[in-house]
Amino acid sequence: MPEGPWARPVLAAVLVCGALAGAAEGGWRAAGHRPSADAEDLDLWAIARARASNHDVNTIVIIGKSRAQLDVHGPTLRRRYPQSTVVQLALRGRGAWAAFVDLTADEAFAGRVLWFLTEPDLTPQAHREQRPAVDRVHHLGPDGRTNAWLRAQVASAVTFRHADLRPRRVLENLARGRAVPPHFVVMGPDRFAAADFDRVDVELLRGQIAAVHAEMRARMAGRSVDPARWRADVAQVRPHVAQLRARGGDVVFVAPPVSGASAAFSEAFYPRAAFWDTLTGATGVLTVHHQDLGGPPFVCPDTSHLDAEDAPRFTAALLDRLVAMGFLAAR
Amino acid sequence: MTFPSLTFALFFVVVLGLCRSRLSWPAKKTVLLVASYVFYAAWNPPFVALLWLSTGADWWIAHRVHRSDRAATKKAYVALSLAINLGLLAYFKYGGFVVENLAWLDGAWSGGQRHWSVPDIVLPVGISFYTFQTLSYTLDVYRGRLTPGRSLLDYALYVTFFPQLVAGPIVRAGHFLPQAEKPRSASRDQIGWGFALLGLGLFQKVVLADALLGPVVDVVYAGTALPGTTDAWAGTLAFAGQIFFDFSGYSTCAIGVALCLGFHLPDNFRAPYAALGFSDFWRRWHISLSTWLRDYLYIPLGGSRHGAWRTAAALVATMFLGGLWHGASWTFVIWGLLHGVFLVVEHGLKKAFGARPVFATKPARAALTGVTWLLVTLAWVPFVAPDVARAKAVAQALLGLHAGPDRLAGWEVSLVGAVLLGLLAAHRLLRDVPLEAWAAKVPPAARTVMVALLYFLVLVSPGQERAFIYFQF
Repeated sequence: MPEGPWARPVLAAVLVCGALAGAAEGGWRAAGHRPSADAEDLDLWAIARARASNHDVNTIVIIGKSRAQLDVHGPTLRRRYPQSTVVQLALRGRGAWAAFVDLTADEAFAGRVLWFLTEPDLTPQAHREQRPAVDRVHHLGPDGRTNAWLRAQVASAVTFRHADLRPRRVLENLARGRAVPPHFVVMGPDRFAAADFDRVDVELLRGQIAAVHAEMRARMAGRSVDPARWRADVAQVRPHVAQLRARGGDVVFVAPPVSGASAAFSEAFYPRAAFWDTLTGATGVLTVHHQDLGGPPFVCPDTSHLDAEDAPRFTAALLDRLVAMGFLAAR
Repeated sequence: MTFPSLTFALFFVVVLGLCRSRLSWPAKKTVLLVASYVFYAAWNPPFVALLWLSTGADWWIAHRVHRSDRAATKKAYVALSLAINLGLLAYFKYGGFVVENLAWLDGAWSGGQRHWSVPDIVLPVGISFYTFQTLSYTLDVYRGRLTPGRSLLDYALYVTFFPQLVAGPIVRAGHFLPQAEKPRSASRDQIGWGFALLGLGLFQKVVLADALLGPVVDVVYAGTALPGTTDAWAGTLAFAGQIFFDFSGYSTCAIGVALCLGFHLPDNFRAPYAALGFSDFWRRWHISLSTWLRDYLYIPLGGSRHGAWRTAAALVATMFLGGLWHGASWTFVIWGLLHGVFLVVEHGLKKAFGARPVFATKPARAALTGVTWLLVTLAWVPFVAPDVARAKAVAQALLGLHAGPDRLAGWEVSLVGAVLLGLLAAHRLLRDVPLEAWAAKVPPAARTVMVALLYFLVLVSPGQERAFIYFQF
């Protein structure tokens, strides 16, 4: 080892490092950032998924994309069903087919699945989108699980561990001559998340969603989706549903709120009467459409997701509807 | 368990505390052994049994070899050790690969009438490392270089010592066992230096390899689209940095952690990108593996004692097997063979032109160092590519043939350039000066600042930990 003192300099370094971390925390918070677990952490997804394997018919699992994560208010759900294990398995931008198939194949899962989806999520093109997360469940050892849990706890407590503030993201923004914009979504270690659209440039988000729509329109090149072909595709879910029902579990399809350009896009390519309203016939699965929930319509600030202020109302309305349908027990 | 994880941080605090307590030396060694099994089991508990099998088998065999008077009996026991250790490797590491290739051959031969089911075998982490350690123990006893010790505890700790268990450095029994015999306790300054090394290793892995370079490599090598020429170069250069920072980072962490516990592990890297020629490169890159291959493969194959052709054959065979050691894939075989060819050509050129004074001049040495680095970097293409087709696509893009559009942003390409320039400058600086000698010159206040910055940057670089690349080998 090199000559000279190393104990004291390293001990001093620990203190300096602590001071730097404190300064970073203060700086990020002053710039509007908040602590959040990483929504893309597949290990965290895997430990949430493992909680669903409990042989309990009262377990409630939410699957889908980001709408399933932002529109559902975890505390409301837990307040109504305090005896149930509630598991949030939504993953941004990835259709939940693989997660659903994994749940139905799991003999230890017998709960209720709330599957938030859009029409393309049931087609074969989307079947593998959540596969990497599902694979993680079956390859995650005790260390991986503990570590993901610890990581999420720390990230939920301190801002400087936010995934959006990693050096690469900071450098990317610096290269563009701007500071890292505060993220509007905060996710807890239980994977339930809330969106605060007051903290973000909503027009910018709408522009990004419009760009995605434009890209999809270009890909469709004026062709429309054939409803009959789509029904044949979605019917592939039947054997998996039967498998789950045989154990006492069940699934419901939920069409989450959209508004403005997203609603117009959806109606243009997947008109409700030709697609959503035929889903039960094609799959044998009950459905809930946000338009049928009653009360004032839900408005999505970015046209695609609910604000944290509206998520509790939507969740309560959805649960009422599911109880009325007999899908969930009255509480 | 991996060094950059929070679980390891908690685990290490407990282990270090116990090793600094008033426990007796045998009790401390028992703590380290149990901790090592916990460290390993945390990943996949059942595979600890393999570790026990490998440990127990070579302990027993080495004693049998030592006690036996008959050469044939000794050889039979060595053959048994080889069968057990290489058998484990063959099954877990190459089982799927062999079946896959047999299926391909069958398809080519008979038109694929038969159905082959390729087994999905989980590779036990670190198996390539600990089987090489136990094997070398038996071979050293067989060659009379080592007398088997009496303490199974010491031997088990040698095989299992957690800092180097899953990704090296591959330690020789002659280096480790004497350290286990007498009570050891790190001084406060040793612990300080150990933590400085741990910080350096974590910085290399978490910040440089994972946070900055890894995503660039993924864009080029993990995708399916044809890469552009600039992207192909940036991705390949980024991988040259990523693989070094990843593996050297692990070794540096291992050495630092071991030092805190009072043990010395050998260096595994010595500024390899400043190597002058490929023989020099392999004296600087993954030193514990290259010396293992030299001692237990290259020299038994004849080494350089039987003329040019036999030397060339031994070199190529050693590097071929060295490539295969890294993984069950033709891409690793190609990488190993490329290095074999590089070494053979270098040997030939050295014999023909090496004595000329021009090669001793500074510009010539600098040019040869540059050529070595460039060829080593290009040889990473098959190493990092997931399959031969991807390696071919990137190689073509590097040459500007069949290149697709570039996807990387200008700042990402600049970032790769800056990190690589820093890496090459550091290697030039440390080419002939050990890190310890350089660090000794740093004043205490600067030590504080440097170590604080290393840990701070690690702390603010969150993300899902990527496994160390060498865990898969």
